[in-house]
Amino acid sequence: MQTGASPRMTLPHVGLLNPLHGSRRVKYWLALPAFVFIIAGIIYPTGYLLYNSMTAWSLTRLDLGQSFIGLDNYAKLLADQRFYSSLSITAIFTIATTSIQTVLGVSLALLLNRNIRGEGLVRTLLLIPWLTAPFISGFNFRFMMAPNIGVIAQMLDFLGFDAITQASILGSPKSALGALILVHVWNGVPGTMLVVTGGLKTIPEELYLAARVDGADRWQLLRYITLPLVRYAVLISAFLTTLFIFKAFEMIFIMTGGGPGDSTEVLAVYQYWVGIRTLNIGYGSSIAVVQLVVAFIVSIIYARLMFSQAD
Amino acid sequence: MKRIVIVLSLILLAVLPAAQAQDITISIGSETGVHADALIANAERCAMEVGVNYEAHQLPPGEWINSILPTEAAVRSGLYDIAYIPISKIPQFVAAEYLLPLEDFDIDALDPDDIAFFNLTEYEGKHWLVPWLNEYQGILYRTDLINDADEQAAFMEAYGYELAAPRSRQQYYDQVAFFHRPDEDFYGNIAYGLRAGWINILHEALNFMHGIEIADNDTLEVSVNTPEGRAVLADMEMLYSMADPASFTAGWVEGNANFTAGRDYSLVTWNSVLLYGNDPETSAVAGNIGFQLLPLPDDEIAEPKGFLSQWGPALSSTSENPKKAFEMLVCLTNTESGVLGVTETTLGNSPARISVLTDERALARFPWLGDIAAGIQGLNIISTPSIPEWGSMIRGDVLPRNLSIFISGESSVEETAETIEAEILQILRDGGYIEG
Amino acid sequence: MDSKMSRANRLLTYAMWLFLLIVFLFPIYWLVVSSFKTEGQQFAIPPIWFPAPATLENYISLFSDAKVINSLKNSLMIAGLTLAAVALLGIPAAYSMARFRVGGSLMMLVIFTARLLPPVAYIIPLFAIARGFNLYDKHGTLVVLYTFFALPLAIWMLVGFISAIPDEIEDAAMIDGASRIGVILHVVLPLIRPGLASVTIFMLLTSWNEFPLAVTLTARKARTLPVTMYTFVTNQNIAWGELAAAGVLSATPIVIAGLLVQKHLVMGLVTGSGK
Repeated sequence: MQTGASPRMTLPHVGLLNPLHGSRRVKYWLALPAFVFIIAGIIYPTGYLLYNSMTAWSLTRLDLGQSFIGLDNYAKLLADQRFYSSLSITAIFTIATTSIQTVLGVSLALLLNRNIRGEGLVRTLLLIPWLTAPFISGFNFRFMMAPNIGVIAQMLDFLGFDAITQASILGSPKSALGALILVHVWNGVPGTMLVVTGGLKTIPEELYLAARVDGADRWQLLRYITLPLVRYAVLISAFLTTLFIFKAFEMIFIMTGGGPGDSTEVLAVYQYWVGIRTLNIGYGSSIAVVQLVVAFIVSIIYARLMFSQAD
Repeated sequence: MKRIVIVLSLILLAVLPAAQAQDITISIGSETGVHADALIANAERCAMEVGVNYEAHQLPPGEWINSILPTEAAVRSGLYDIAYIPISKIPQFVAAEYLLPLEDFDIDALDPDDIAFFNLTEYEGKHWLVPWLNEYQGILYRTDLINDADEQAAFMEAYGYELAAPRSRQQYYDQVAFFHRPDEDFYGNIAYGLRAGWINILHEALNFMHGIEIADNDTLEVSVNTPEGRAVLADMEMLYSMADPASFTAGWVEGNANFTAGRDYSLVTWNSVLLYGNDPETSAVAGNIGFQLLPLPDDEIAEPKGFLSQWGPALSSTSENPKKAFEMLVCLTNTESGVLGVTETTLGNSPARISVLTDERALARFPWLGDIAAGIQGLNIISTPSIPEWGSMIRGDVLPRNLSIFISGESSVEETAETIEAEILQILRDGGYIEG
Repeated sequence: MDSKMSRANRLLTYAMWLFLLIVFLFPIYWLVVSSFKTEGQQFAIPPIWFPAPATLENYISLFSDAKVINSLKNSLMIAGLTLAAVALLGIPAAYSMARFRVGGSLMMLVIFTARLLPPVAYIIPLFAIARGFNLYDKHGTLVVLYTFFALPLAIWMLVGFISAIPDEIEDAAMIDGASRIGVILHVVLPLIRPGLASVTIFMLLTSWNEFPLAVTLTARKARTLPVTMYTFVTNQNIAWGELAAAGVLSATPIVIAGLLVQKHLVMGLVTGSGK
């Protein structure tokens, strides 16, 4: 992504200047091992996944073996209500989490960017949610959000909201997805903050001084200097967040298992449910392939946004 | 001279098996958890007795039985000689040709008559695992409350009969309603409502309390969208309306935690909850829990049926030393191991052997084992339909998902009954078990 | 932004920070106190805010469990080796991509794709391979896989850091007779040290907390901490105290690492993304 950003990228003359040390081939040898590793790592399992998605193969009925059935799994998928439901839940979940996390992350980065004592400490402490194992956080929130005995319910009770103390946050289809979105934001927002802070720190102080001399107020500084200059950092973090949230699984699985009903069954959970829980490898693989295609399209859109941003 | 020869041969006899032991390693695959831990606790002693080395692979429970062992059965790499599995998965692993029938060995060495409901492990005419854990479904209820004089008087006034251990479905429902006091943060019952296998427990229990099965074990006739099947769902709805709000998200841990914290009158569950419900260190109601085995004999039920879950070690067909593995299995599940599994482990086990249930050492630790031993005499225990799809697809997906939709109020009794029945029939048709 | 802040303004900022910390760290605080509670205290009403006396029972049983110690060692070893492998493969590749545009944007796209692969989808082929080639329950297997999942992001970040270094510095070194490898080792690496800190944290996050692959591909010898921790929860006893303690234990090294490189974390991403 930096390719478009840096005008100093191509330097063929380096090799010419130093025929002994900077042989033209060296640059390929440097990259080769990683490229081979990554490409092999993509091709083999993805090929296997594609093949499996075109077979009928269930570990429940190993006696039936694995048989090639072409695109039947995909045809079945197109008629599967549960698939569409999980697709739309994934869309809501991904878009909501990414936008809330991005807005909150940028706000946090701005609030913390003050050049006064303690800034670094506060920022590092805020990183802790991000560094904690997701499945530990999943259990932690599941217990915290339990009705009555959960600490959140008890705090609400203490504050006089006893009417909702007995409400089951994760047990109601109305609130479960919202709660999961908040928990994922909590977990991911420090990452966004970190990347955006990185962007903020590159803005030269002189720009602000000059603008102030011209009589700009705080709002204008933010609107015309800060935000445009951190856009690239914001895009990168939004991109990473989208990819991460799109395949989020652990915390959802631990907190609701995809329920109540189907209300939090995102694609990753549905795929697990089919591929692992009911051991239908063929059909589960076709869901995984769709997941992959969607994620790929999303990342191309982001790539375009970022390329155009850099130019 | 003679003496020297004897001594030498004795030494040889002692050394030879030891030398052989170096060669054979019996690998046991299991989950982690109370009863599997109790089984593995005997492995070292048994390996010595049999003269082999052993290796125990203990994996997280859900992953072990739902993904790791099925994957190993598909790959057949010979990872385990002995696999610890529940009876509900026998058809699946037999279909995969992953298990060896116990009939291939000296089955009498297992003393099968001593194992309660050993017959349930029979599939396609053979036995496939040795029950180590027998868990019975039943109702846990609070004895301190039903023995309270004031409550007894109030109950008598309200319902016109005496408050005592629930002996029928209606008595149980009356007690749930009577003790349901949400204003005091005390509830008639708690159920497991998390969208996972736990949610099946109440549904299955209610089916048996109505004298029906979700599907008949032999004919596979499904009775979900029938008057009785719908009555089961209606009762389930009714119990959830008088349930601890935690029920809607409770998995095994939260369900048991709420009950043992003394916040609920009752819980329909497996009797192994008694293992820690009566542990004074973790339970606020230790010593005050009664256990009523299902089924509850209602007058209108001609043939009450009960349900139990069995887990035990089975022999893998990929084992290179099946004979030694079988010897190991005999030792792991004998009376001595069973007693030690109850007495020498942190939380104990709910044993399958009658000789363990009646053993004085075991009873000294868990007096309620005696009630179980007495209670199972007349029980008409059945198992779930013996087809591979029942464990993984129907109990693993169709039931939990639709019951979760149902209890969260998103579908009616009729819709739920219709959907579950249709989905089960579809799976049965796809599997080629029924016509259509 | 504001280098000279008024006293009132400063107090306001601190008050706001304090509020943020309380909101964000409350769940962490709750996790930590849970790890110091007995099982009977966990779900008490009213909640126990500060267990007094705090019990060390959970930590004691954790540290006296050979499985925990063993998996802690495994996790450290696997994370360390993954880091080394990522550095060995990633730094030269990133250098070559940043300096010579080797691979171009096509390779960048391929690298993205690698980020998209959901690990859960590959459990069965991976298990089959691992068993077939005797790679089951081996540390190296997880190192290879984690390297695969961590490498794309690492290269991506490193390309950013390296391309921010002015060429003139390197050219000068080359003219002084340094080899390409020498330049990477002695010029580029010291200059991107801050960036390396943030890459390290990202990489640690990938390998340290990973669960689905670890549970499928390890049994005893190479089992990692998350898998061992998971067995506390599904154990039929309520082991929430122990699980919380294990959670605190597993988060501690990575939080300490974060604190140590805290300054560099921000600096690293300055050059990485501030284009």
